[in-house]
Amino acid sequence: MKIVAVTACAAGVAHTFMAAEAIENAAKVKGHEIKVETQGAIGIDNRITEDEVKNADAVILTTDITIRERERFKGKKIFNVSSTACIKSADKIILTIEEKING
Amino acid sequence: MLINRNLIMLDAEFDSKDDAIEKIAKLFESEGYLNDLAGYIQAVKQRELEISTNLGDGIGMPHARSNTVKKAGLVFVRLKNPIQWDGDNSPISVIFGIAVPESGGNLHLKLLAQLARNLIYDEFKEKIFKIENKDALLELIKEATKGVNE
Amino acid sequence: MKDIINVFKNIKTHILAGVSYLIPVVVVGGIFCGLGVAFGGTSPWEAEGTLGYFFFMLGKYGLNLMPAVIAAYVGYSIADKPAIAPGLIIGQISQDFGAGFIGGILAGIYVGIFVMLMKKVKVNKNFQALWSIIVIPCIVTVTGAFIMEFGVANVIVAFTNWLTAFFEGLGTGNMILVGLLIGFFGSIDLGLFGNKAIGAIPLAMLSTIDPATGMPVMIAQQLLLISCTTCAIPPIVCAISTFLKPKVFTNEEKEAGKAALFLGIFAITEGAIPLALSDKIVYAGCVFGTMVGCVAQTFTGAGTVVNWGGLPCLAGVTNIPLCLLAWGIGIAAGVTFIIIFKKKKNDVNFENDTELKVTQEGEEFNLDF
Repeated sequence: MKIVAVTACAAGVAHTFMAAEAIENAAKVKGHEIKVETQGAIGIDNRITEDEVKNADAVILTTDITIRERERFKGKKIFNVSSTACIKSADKIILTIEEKING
Repeated sequence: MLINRNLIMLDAEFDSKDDAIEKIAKLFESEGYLNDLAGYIQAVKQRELEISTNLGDGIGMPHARSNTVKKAGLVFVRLKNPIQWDGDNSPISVIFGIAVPESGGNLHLKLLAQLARNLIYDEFKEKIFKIENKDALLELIKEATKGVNE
Repeated sequence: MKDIINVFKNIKTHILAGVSYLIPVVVVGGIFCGLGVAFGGTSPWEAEGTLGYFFFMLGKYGLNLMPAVIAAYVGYSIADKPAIAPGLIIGQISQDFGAGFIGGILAGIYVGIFVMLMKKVKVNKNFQALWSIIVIPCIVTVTGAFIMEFGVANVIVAFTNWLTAFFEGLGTGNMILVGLLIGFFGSIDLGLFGNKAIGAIPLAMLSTIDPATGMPVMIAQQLLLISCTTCAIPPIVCAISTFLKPKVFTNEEKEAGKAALFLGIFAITEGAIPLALSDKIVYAGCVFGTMVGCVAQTFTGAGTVVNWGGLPCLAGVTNIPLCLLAWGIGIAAGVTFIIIFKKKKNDVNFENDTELKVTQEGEEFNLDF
């Protein structure tokens, strides 16, 4: 499964990156391809391209703050999760996504 | 410098989360990282209301990004006695205090981001608790944030 | 607008935040009211110059601040500092106009949302400080005060008056129904005006003296005891629940529980507020327990001339053992309810072992704990 994700939180310093790391690991461990864009205090890092969106099976977006340039993902299967949920239960989230996409 | 020896407190004694936040802020202030001490404290407390900074396993990471911060800094505190952080999740015995300016300081932000990423990993978290002295801590942070460049 | 919807989605968080600032006020105010009654008998506000009077009035100052504090901090949770001043002021208006802490919560939400929206308005940099410190608070306060004074307060006061009239019209017919109604309406607002309103009826009836005994008619005394029963049960129910099932209460709530026990003994119902406001189940347990206690009380035939609940009330109760039994039954009922139904701690963060809930809107899935 190809997954793209964007993580962002209010201060953009801690949870943004922890969520990104957690989701990345959880997805890779299950053998999925994943790219995570972070929208932190530094700005947009590892930007997801149009092509990558087109090829993605699922999109994960954190809910803490409004995601910038959300329109890129219009029409895709989007999973809205809080950054805290990503940090604490990334594996459950990936499992749920697997069920919804493949199941 | 993101962190220096003066920003490291070992065997600290704090009464409560608020006490911790305030004392960490004062430490930042004394080293010249803040524009506005009270404002920074307020920003950190506000952040606490929005999202929990209890990372589990006894580590807390109070932080704020605001114009009350002059330059990005990292404070590390190891507590003598654990304190309650957010009601009833596990108590905290190690704190990473973070101050980030509204804009600028990109290199330091990347370092912090990298540090944050490492805090997902249990092995890294375990190492934090084994820190005996300031040099060991600085080493650990350097290792965690290596590979980050401008 | 999306932000307004988000505020309501998170309304529980905001109210909890307000409540957490409110707790010390309730505790201090309540404790001193309790001490006032302990030292000064049941009408300490009449005995000027005594210690009881001093304590009680002090406590009253505290409790009177409740609507202001909760309005200010609910507003603060939603919209940060600029919301505090309007919240305090409109909350205080709510207090003076009889709308109590319900008015306070509504005020806090109004203030929070309005301030949040006004903060979005882009102003010239030089004007920024003026905007935040003067313009926003003034506009929000004056509009809120207007709405509170000429609208909201009246609605709440009208409701209170309706309650009073309703009970007056009820007569002494169906005592169990009376017990249920008194229990319900007397506990539903946890001590703010409901049980004062309910208590006003028997209090008025107390002036009808039974020639045979030289005392107020028994029915008046019974009704008074039933309405006083509503005072002590909620906080004691909360307190005992925290002692018996500590795992489902946060540390803050457990502290509030200890205070509530003391407050409950002196029938300061407000002691239940921090706990009942945080969790529907605790709230329901308080109301349920009170209703049961009141119905039990209707069967005891006991009455009182003392217009207060808890320990002080006993001074004037005609049948103390039965009265205590009824109270005990009510408390047991409430506590049992809470212990059975409260499974989770009240927790704005979630715990690791809870289930992931998935809701779907079109092609979007929302994953929540």
